[in-house]
Amino acid sequence: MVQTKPQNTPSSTPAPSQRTSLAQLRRGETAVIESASLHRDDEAMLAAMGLRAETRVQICRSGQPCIVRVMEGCGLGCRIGLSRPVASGITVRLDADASGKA
Amino acid sequence: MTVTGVEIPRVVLLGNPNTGKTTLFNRLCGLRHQTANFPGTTQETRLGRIRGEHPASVIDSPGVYALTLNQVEAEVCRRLLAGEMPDRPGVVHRPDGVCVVVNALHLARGLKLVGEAAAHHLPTVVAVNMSDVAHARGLEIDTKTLAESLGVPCVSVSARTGAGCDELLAALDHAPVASVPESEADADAWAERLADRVTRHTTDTHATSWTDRIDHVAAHPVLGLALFGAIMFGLFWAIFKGATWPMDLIDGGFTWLAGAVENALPPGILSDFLTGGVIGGVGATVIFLPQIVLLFFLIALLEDSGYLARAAFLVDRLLRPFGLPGHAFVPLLSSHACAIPGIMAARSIPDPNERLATILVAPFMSCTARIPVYVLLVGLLFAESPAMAAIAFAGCYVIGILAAVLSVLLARRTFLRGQSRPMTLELPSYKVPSLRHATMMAWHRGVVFLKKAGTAILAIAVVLWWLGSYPIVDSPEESIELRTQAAQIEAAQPEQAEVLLARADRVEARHASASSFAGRIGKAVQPVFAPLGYDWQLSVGVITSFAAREVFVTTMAVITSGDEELEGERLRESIAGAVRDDGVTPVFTRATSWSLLVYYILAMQCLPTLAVTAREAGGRKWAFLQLAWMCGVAYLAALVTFQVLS
Repeated sequence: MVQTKPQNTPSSTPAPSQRTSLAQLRRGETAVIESASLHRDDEAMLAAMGLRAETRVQICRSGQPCIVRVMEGCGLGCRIGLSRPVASGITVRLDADASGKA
Repeated sequence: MTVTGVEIPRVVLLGNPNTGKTTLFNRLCGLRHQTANFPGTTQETRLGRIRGEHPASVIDSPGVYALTLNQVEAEVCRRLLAGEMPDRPGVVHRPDGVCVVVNALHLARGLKLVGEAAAHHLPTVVAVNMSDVAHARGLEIDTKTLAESLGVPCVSVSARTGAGCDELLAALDHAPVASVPESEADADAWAERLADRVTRHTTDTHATSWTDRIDHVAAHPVLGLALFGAIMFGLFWAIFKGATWPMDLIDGGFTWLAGAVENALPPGILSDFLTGGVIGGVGATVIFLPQIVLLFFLIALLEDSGYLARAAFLVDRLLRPFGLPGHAFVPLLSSHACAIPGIMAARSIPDPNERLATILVAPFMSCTARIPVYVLLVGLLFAESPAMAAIAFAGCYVIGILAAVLSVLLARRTFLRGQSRPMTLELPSYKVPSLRHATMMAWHRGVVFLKKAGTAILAIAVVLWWLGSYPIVDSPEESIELRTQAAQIEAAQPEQAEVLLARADRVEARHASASSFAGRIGKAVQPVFAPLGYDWQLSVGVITSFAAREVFVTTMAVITSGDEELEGERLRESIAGAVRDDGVTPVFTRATSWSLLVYYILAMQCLPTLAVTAREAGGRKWAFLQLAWMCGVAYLAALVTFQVLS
């Protein structure tokens, strides 16, 4: 599992329909990471890079590679490239209000 | 240079990848540094020394996102902080300080590493690098508040320009131990809170940047591959064309030197040793230096620009089914110039198994040393059909690539098992690469090549020269008879006399080659190569090729014509007309030529490459495995080829 970040926890639980994998998002959409089902070393690496539960990310490019911008905790939005299996293994919930605004 | 850790303070440079840590190391230590690997790892650690007012030994550790990660880089960092010394196996001496390099653009992630390093209770300084870039992009870091919060000096620096480096060195002299939360659960929150507190955004830093716009093309599955192809074509065109002039210069210099030594010394063993063994051996090594330096200079530029990370993703999709990551592309492509820099470039592959697999198969790529052999054999096979010759020539490259990927597939399913880790990479913003940094990286790689590979290559070249040149034997009766006849008719028939003398030269060269240690070895191993269709002459050619593959052509020229300077069509005619000891059977039949071609595509016949494999892979056993596997595959493939065609 991606390590849980203690702050910025949303006050309401999202509807299941809002949940999807990171690989399904389109360019410009913003989402919040919920969990990951990957090899534990890959999960640890993602967490160390800043991709943890409750972290907001924006899709800079969908497909292979999927390029996400980490919106928090990385200062000036570091970009991380994820191969499709990794992006598919990360569950996110859509941040509908923010999507497309950036 | 030896890092003592006793006379002067020893400082470990620690940081996330892409923080400019190595650029800062180069800025602080200059060109004078050495590299070392911890035993059992292929992870390189660089050791340097700061001179002047604030002397210190500096160790540049591998970039890590967290010390707790289960990866080689993190393990090396943990061992360095615990006091292990890569240049002194077995010696433990805690470092006198740690300088954590954080990227001003991504402060929180760097601060988490500061927190992890603080658990080692070492005097600490935080270098906030890329402050100038952050400022230009609307981000200000309050280093004073940061220093107060951490209880250690925090210095804004720019490794690219050198700004702040003097303050950093002064701070290293009296650094205290950092005071941060020790529990990992608090570390993320603590780092992010602190980063938020000391960071001020002066503009909308999340706006779509030109990096995103470039990525739409550079990471596009079609346009990106086209761009990648164009860049790689440019890179290798530059290596082949750009290196030609200095390579010719080096070649000319060594030829002149050998001539000068030959003229200065009386004929004999010393003269032969210096000109043929030492100067010839060193020249054969140094001639590749321009290609190696240029390759690493251009790779450093591409890496520093941020493009290489994107390129790795593009190729990852193609190589992944065979168990190789996208990172392997540059090493494998570089190996088409020479396997030695290709193997050295494999250091950029993070996963140890994938790195090892790449190193082991890199010599399957058709390097430039094979080209003269391909040209000769393809020319013999398709003398009347240039189009077929071109197809066969291209086929040589395809066979090498297929052998490499199939070997990797086998290795990854047997002794290099392990889940192929999907690629996750930070993609740094594009920036104008630093020429200074690229120059220093190229210089460093050049020095490493000359020092380590060069010594091995020289030793090997000297040994093979000796095997091919000794013992010196008397001229055979046949050549004495020919020279006597030539002397008798010289006045009346000078042209006929020259023909006889040329025949005498060939007979002597053939006799000397057959009588040399290499020739005797060739005859001894000939039964091994007999099923492949090789007589003793070809066996000698194969054996001497272990100095360098292109030596095969020279050896064949010497054995068949007695003239090592023979080139082009005359050489091809001479070799095509060569016969076995029975005086009738051609040495190069169609089946033998195909068999030889297949053997040279696949065989490991470069001892200097084996020396580099042993060093880069972390042990001689890998070099032996590479030798055995490649030669075994080559033997079987050549055997099948010969038996089918004959």
